[in-house]
Amino acid sequence: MKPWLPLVTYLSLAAVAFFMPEYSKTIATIVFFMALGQAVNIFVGLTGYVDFGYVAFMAMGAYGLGVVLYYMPQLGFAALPLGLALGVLMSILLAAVVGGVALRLRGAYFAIATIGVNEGVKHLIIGANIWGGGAGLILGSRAFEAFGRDTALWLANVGSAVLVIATGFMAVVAMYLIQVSKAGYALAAIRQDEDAAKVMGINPTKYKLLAFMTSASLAGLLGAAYYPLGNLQVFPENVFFIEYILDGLAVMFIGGAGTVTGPIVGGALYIIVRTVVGELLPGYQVFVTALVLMTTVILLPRGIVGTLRLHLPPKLREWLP
Amino acid sequence: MDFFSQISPFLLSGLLLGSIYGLSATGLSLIFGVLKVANIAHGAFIMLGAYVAYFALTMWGVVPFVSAILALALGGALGYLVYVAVVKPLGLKNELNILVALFALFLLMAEAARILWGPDFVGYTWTIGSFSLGGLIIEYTKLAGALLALAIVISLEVFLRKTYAGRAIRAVVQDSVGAQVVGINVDRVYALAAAVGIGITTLAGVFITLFIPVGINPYMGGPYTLMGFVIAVLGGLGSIMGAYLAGLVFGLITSVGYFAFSELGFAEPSQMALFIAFLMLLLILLFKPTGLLRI
Repeated sequence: MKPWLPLVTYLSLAAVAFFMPEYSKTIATIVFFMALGQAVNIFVGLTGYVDFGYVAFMAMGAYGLGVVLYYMPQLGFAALPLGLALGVLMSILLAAVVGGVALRLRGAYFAIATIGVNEGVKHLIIGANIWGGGAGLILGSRAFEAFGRDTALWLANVGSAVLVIATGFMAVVAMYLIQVSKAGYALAAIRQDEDAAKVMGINPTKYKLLAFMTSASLAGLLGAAYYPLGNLQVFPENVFFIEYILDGLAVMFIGGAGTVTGPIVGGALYIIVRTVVGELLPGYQVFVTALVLMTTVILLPRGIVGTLRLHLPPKLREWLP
Repeated sequence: MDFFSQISPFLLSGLLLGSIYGLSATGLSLIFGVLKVANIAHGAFIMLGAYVAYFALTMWGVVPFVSAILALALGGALGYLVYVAVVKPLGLKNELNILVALFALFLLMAEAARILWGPDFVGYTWTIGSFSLGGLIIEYTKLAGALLALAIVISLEVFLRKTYAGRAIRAVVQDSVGAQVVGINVDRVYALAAAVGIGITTLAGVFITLFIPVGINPYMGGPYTLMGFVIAVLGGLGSIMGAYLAGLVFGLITSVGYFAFSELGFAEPSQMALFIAFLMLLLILLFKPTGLLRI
């Protein structure tokens, strides 16, 4: 398996975003869907489990950076790494709690257990009125205070784009590292037959949890890059919006679940479909996404890259992981 | 006595609403029992039923107890379609793809409702009076809805026990291969279970509107999916009576929880009730995944 194609893609996108800041918002939007697909893929693609409360991880990342910026703007530039670290940590913690409980369960039961995660955490934040409650965190003035006006705007524009791309890049690296290591073989065995894998001495919960927490930390970074850094706000109704898991699943399934390049192809196609639908039929984007996801899952379950890989000679297949 | 008179309205409303919750979860439980498929789109059919009740009353003046029959037929037809178009082509073994397809169906239906009927909350008022019981005011519509829900669950149970089709369904729940060996058309049983399960879910959506007079909205289904699974799991997935009883328990818990949180006054009670629901789901799945009624 050679991960160079997806890595070079992300690196060149990062270079464009950095040196041509006028395009960075556009690139950030495109790569956001690719990176979301990558992050979802690390869990769903590698384990064959599906988490419907996945957006809660993005929300944790968003709240991590949001809370640090909102309550401690006097930290200055240290607020950024600290906030990102807190966001990732909270995502991983939530994944450890949810996964530690629910990943002991099989397939459908796991999916059932995750249905409530995003709603549950959202209602806790709104209901118990923590972190700004239902009103959310508005960060504009705090970010100006912490970073200075110009830098804050640069960070919101270019910085968030670079962070989104970096997340996609890290997701590819993580996927590569998992797949070439023992964990990759263990996960493949679990996906095919969990009982047989168990008999062979593999601890399924451990490896599923590894993939789950890796995926969650990347989702947390995406949430932090998109809401508090890019939009300078964190509203519970936005960050817990269930649509993003739909987007992530659509990107992953269009490209090919379990493949490394799949989410890049899927993300690029997906953004085209979304843009065209947004132009021709504004307001129908989610409807079309749901329709596309449903038809892809039923008619092309391997996705584009997955199907392509079946027909490629082994030498070329190496290059299209 | 003071405490009792304070809490008893909550207990009663919890039981009445719990009866409807129980009815809605029986559909979910039946589908899981037979097809081993978690109907993630559950809430969308509740939403559909709610709109059926709304349009039937406001456009044709048809009262909810009559439009419930319409909802049952509509939901049944859609359930059959879901089986034929989604579940069957994927094959029951392909769990991930079925779950994702049903999830997409949930959002597809919600979006279709938003596009067709608008994003706003709508509702209706339909009252046929109320009576007072020891100081508690009970609306006839709610009481009738709760009793009808019980009657429907009992008839479903009778159907499953006394008719050939019902017995075939139960045979498939116990052992689908064994059922096939003795000559049961398993494919038809799957289709029947999907139709009956989703039909009952849609019907329950009609009844739910009796309790939320102005809460009908394209995206209202999400919390009902969550609550439906909490109840179905609590009752033991696959058990009809279990789901109904768990619905009563769940109604009581959320209602008393609402009372407790509004007394404590530190949190928004309705939001916290949903958080409790989510916590319950995790805890039951962890400690008692077979549900209350099974050992």
